[in-house]
Amino acid sequence: MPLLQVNNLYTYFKKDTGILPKLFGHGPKIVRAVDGVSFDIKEKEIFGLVGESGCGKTTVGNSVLRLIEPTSGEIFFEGRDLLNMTDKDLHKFRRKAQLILQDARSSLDPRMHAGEILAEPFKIHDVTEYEDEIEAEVRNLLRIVGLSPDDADRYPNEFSGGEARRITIARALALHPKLVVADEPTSGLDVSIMAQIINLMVEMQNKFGLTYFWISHNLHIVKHISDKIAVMYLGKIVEMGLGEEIFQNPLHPYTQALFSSVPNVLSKKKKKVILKGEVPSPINLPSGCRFSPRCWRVKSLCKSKAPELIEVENGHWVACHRCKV
Amino acid sequence: MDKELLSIKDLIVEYSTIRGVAKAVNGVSLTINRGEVFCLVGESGCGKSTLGLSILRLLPKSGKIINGQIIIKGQNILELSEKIMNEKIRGKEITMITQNPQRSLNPVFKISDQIIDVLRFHEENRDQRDKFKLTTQSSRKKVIWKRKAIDMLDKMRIADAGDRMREYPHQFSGGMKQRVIAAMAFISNPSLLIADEPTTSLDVTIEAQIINLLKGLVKEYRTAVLYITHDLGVAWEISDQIAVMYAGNIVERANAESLFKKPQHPYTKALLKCLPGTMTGNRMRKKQLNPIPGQVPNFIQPPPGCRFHPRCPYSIRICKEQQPILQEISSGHFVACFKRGTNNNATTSSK
Repeated sequence: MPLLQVNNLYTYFKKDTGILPKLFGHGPKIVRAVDGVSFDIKEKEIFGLVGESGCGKTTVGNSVLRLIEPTSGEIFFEGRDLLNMTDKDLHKFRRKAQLILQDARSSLDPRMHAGEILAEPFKIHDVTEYEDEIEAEVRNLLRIVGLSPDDADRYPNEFSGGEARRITIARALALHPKLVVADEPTSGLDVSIMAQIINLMVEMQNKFGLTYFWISHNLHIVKHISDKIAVMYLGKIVEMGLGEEIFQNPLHPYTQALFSSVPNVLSKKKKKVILKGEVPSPINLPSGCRFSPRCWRVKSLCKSKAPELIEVENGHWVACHRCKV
Repeated sequence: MDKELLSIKDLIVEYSTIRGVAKAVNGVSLTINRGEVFCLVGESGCGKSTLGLSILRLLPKSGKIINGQIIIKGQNILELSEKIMNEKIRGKEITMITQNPQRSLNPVFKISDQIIDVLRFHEENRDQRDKFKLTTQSSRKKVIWKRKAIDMLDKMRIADAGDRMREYPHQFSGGMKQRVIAAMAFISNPSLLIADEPTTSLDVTIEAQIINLLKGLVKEYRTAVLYITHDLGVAWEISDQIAVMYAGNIVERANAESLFKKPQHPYTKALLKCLPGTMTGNRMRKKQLNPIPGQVPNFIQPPPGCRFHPRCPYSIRICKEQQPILQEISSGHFVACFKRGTNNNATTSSK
């Protein structure tokens, strides 16, 4: 049984258009941020979700934790239906699933010192009543993520970017969760600090048997770290499979273009696939395959019918009319 | 014609802060040849943007150029008056593309007005000496400028340039805005373009488009570029020459091929090893990377001697006492390290 199973997840946002269109009888515009996404994550796996900004990857991350209510779909965590849970059960679920946010600084309360921030999870979930036990846990956490126990008395603004990131990791790990949704955990960091944070997260995974749902736009990192990868484009998964397989043998034209456009040190200066145009708006989606306006292998079928995500090889899923075996 | 376009000699830039004086650029010398893409790489806070801004003398008030020379086509920029800087250098001889395209465009003016402004400013300045010229044909000039601006936007591959010119910056996407900025940078046919992380805020597919565009323009206009980036992959793709900066110093300079294939300075080596995808064998299987231990030093009280020595695995006594100077070790490959030449790989294995 997979740890997390997501079936046909849809998350739409209403975009208010203002009073004039309303007077003329136009309803609010619908932003289709996540439009039918299915995947499952096994225990102790690192599942990487990649895509460009605005493709809906963060919305997927927040939806599976029910921080944003999905419009429709099914989410099962350890076999239990997440969308029809009572509040009490949801509270218990939150203990097992944690989130590391993109911007470490703004996800730490500037008026609490690190010790208080790290003590919060224990208080929210009534782990223990004794202050000194919590304090011991906090000191332990700080040590685990490579900070000094004395750092508990410092405020978030006194930490560097990498250290602040370590505190968010410590906070996520405080209650020994099973699933950690890591939303761009290394964005905005320099390469040397980025390497430190990735090492720490991998170490934590081995130590606590964590499962990561790793959301990133940095393909190098996802390639390095993930067991399984899904590539998203405009609210849909276009390709999914084992990490090695996808990088060696990308089948979807978007995946091919994405991988070829990543600048890589010492890569052969071969001709790149450079896409035309930009990502269309998720309000007015192109008909048929969403990638068709930018695709170089487009056929008439692509413009009329949206392709389904199908398994072309063992464990390798692609949504493209041109990639059938 | 002289091959050398820009040369910087012993540049020192300091910022005065509440806590003391921070030496952000600590004696940098470099030369950029005509039509060459010179890449400046380094981690954030190593002084690369400060160096870029000093060339245009656009440092914030707290920043000051203490020492050095910045010579472009035989003229020392630091000795020019503010008036000459505006008339002849900024936006004319040297132009700039910044990291955040949103902030470099004025939200209340149309794109056309902002591009034409560049042309108008420089032509009117020139014509002030020739009063007769100024009075005639000013309306006809507007048409010419407009034509020029549309041509330029076409070259930047903006579809329907004529119509889109009449729009405002918020109607453009991030990648499009960066194209507009590039149009403004190239329209006065500069001899040097300073590009400070021009693709950092863009997605990879758009980044590839912009880099491709810049490469084409550089060839066409034979403009030299000082390209500032923290992304070693981008540096590899675009540059002829690369300089690696660490804590205000250039620690290594070479052509792209030789820098990436035979890095000499311990910092360059460590930086390359940090990148995911360079791992092999057991570390790859364990998904571990090789970070550089420690942190970038404090600029107010930097470590004595070589600024990298507290993090350097090869440091010896002299590293703590003296600052190494940039020396040529093989043709065109410069390194600032006391352990250069000796194979510093071998020293660790024998440890």
